[in-house]
Amino acid sequence: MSQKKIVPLAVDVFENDAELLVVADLPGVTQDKVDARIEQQRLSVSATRADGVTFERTFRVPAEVDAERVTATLKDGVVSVKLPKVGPKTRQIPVSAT
Amino acid sequence: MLLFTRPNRSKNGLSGYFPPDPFAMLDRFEREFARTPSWPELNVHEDKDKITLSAELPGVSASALDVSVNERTLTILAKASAVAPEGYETRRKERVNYTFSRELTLGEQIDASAITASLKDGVMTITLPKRPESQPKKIAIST
Repeated sequence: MSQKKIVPLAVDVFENDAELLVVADLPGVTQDKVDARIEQQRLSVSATRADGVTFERTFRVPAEVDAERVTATLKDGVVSVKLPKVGPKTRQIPVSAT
Repeated sequence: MLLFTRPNRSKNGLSGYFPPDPFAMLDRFEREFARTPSWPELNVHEDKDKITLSAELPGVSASALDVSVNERTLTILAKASAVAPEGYETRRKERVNYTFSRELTLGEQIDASAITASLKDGVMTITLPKRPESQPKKIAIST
């Protein structure tokens, strides 16, 4: 039954002020088989299914992503990777009256 | 011959573009046909005692999958939405919204009352058990 087959992941990338959100289809993959990692500003998502099908995709992520706080969740065969941005987007500068 | 009717392109000045070539029309028909919603694929696997249907339906939750049997017709309907979540802007869009819809006629050997369906990690599996009397029986040879 085992077949060697590498499938490139189809992904969506969304963004808001706080984070980037990468969404990819991983049908038939269980949580323990998903491997998401960030190395040198590259996010790679890979997963191997029981039947031998391997899903794989690597992206370059912008420098402002906080690699330490990246999280991934899997639901209904779809993985969502949240990449929080570093630091506050805007900084309020206090204005002092003279 | 209705199937081979071409759309009227005369407004675009393209009326002379397609020669009245029946093979060209057939080719066009085939391309249209290939675009029919046959994705995601439905896999069918037959065993001695059952037929198993399976499909990869990423993003479909159990509540968005509807499987029903009416007389000898099995209907499968699922919808998956791949829209941007609230408050996010789209930067890249490769996944699509899709509807998975199939209607199958069950053979007499299928026990419609014993059909089971499951959805796990975005993969749907439907088991169609065969009636015991329709399964092959090995006949012992007496010597």
